[in-house]
Amino acid sequence: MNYVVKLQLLPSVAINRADLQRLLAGDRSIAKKLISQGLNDQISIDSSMSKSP
Amino acid sequence: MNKKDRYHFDELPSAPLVPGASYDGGTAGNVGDDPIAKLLPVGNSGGIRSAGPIDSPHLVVLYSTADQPEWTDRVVDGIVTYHGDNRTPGQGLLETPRHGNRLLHGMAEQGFARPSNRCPFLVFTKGGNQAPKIRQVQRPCDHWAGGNSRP
Repeated sequence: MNYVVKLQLLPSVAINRADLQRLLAGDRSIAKKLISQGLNDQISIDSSMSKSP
Repeated sequence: MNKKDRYHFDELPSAPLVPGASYDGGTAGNVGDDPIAKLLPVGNSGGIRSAGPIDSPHLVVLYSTADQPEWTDRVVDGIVTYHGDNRTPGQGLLETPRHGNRLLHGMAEQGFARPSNRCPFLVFTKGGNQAPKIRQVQRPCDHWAGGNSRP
């Protein structure tokens, strides 16, 4: 019994140390900035449950 | 940003996170050799690690050795499939020692889709020389699944 998480690869996004420090300090604007670089409106995000392979 | 393909253990506290780069472990022969913990404040063991509060993490690290036949972690066509951390039978799904499944479960319950709940996921896989290699920055995708995956 286990959970499975699926994620989509973003384009090649690197994180520099300055942004990383802000991210680790809880600055959500950095998370939004990073994630926005890979947003794809055609992908739906939900929390449906199903059987793993 | 000064990007490299590989970072030595001593460089990790100041290294950037670069997709495709490898991060070398230490040579002391103990848990302190773990390069991910040297790179990020997420602990030195476990496949699911996080920084920040468990109910609202600042970032999540998924680490896969990709060598467990029952746990087919994979990357196919840009989609990462990662199995949770309940490899040891006889314990509750959400009662794993480091609470990795609980973290993911909580994020799913709160709704991955809400921007305020999103945080970067970093996926590391074991490199050919045991040095973890960052695959890519991730974001949660089309679904979160739970169920039977092990006899």
